[in-house]
Amino acid sequence: MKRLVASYIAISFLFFYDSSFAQTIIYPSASSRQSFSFEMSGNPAFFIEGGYHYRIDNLIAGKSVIIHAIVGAPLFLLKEFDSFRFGLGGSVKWVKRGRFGFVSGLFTSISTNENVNGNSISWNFKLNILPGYYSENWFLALDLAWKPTIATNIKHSNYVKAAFKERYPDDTLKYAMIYGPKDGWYYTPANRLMAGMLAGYTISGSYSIYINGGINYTPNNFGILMFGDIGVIPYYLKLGMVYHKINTL
Amino acid sequence: MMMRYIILLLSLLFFISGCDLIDPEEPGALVPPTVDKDPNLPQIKITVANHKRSIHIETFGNPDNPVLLLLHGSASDYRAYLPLQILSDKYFVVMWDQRGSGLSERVTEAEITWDAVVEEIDQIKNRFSPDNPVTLIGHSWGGAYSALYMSRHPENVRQAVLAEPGPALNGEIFQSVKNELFELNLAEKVYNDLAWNGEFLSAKAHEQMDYKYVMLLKSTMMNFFCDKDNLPSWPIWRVGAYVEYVRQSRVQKEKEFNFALGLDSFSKKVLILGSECSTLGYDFQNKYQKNLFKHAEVALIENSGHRLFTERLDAVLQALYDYLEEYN
Repeated sequence: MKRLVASYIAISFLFFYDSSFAQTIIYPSASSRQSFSFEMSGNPAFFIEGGYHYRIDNLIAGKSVIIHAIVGAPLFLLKEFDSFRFGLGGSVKWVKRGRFGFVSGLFTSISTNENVNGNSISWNFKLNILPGYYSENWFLALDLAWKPTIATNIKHSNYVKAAFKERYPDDTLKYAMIYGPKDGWYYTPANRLMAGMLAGYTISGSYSIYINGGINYTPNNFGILMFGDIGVIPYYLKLGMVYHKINTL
Repeated sequence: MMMRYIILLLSLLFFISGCDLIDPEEPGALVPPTVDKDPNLPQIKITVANHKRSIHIETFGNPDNPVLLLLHGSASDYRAYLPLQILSDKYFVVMWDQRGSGLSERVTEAEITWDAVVEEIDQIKNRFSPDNPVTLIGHSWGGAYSALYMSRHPENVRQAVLAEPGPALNGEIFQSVKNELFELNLAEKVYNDLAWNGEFLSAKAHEQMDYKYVMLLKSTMMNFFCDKDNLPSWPIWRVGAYVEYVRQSRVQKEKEFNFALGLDSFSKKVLILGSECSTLGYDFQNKYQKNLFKHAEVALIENSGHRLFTERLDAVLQALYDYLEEYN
């Protein structure tokens, strides 16, 4: 299975080398090299995310690449200070015909969480393509994304360990050694597919807003679309605002 | 370029650390294995809904004593009820994890039906007490299942104790109470942790689903508790999340379900336990469910919520000693 993870990473590199980076017009454009964004999303728990975006010209195949750096967190877990996402990514806009074209992007992020089951750190990817209509001041695009998690490190809490210990007490230690809970890296533990719409509008030269919503599907063995009790929600909605720092050079 | 180097660095760190990668579905990695994965656990096989399944089960006491069957509630297995083995001085106590729950073998959606529930209880009853009626103690969903079994096979039940059977014994009662059972709190940590958890672990198979569901035992959104800041303990080995999912879906869809149909044919006295604080507690049982039985008494368990077996075991045992024939 290690081979699977290695293949996974190799494929991810290929995407990088093949320059499938993407950008949308809400990020730095000809008149701005840097942007700052703020996004709030709900599914239905609320998440906030801040971003910094920097344009590098003629980086790949003559295309400008936008580098994204983000930090996000579940809004109501901010006071706990234990759940964050730190991400880096790149995006490129590929215009095919007139104003119709597509944008593609690749992000990687590290997420953290501490809950009653233990402490977790995950390493995630997001690959998305956004075919749509891109004018100077607004755009409307289909948002198709694949969000795999490469690996998650879990350090189980005493609460989880107690479930094992009661069934495999010390006098049956041989079983306790065989069975868990196992702390460590779990491979390809999460996988999500998203399909929705993304629309953006540039209010002025310095500010843009966008809205993004659609269906969020977590592949599973049971064909379950929604299991709200455990956070499996089949939709998402994001609202965002971007400030463009206009070039002064 | 910078991005490429960062990813490369992360990859190298990942492999250089020499970490032993774990399959989330590996038996026993996230949650204790079910009995079909661990032959050393106490188990029997039963055939229900045309499927032969392994059941996690234990018995306590002298097999010659009258048989008492313990039916656990939702998001549970029989671990929280183990203190009731004290009743084995007068009864042959049988505790098992219902199919698909706890450490019993997982089942398909087609096997999670009300008819299958009756068939399962009947199988256990016939194995341990083929010739004599049994005593039932059921909690929450286990109480509702006990009522369902009594309504179908009244001749097989000697006595019954239903601890806050619910969420309701028929669809009409469920519709009237369902909005009071649950209180959405968007700021609750467990709620947000579960929403955020999709980044870390997908609910792909039973193992991941059961692991996530355990977190719900710490949720305060069910109106079951006296003090939401200090939830009573509720020990489990493993939750059967898929059973919970199918059962919830079924109750929502089948608004006409009726576990009480035919209960009037059970003429013996039934003891209902109702806590002081739970939405399904003393007042609810008196108002909605007591009258579904020909002869029922509701006993109040003070200073307790829905988890009365861990919150007020002393009061529960006293109510049982007062009611059960073998102690009187």
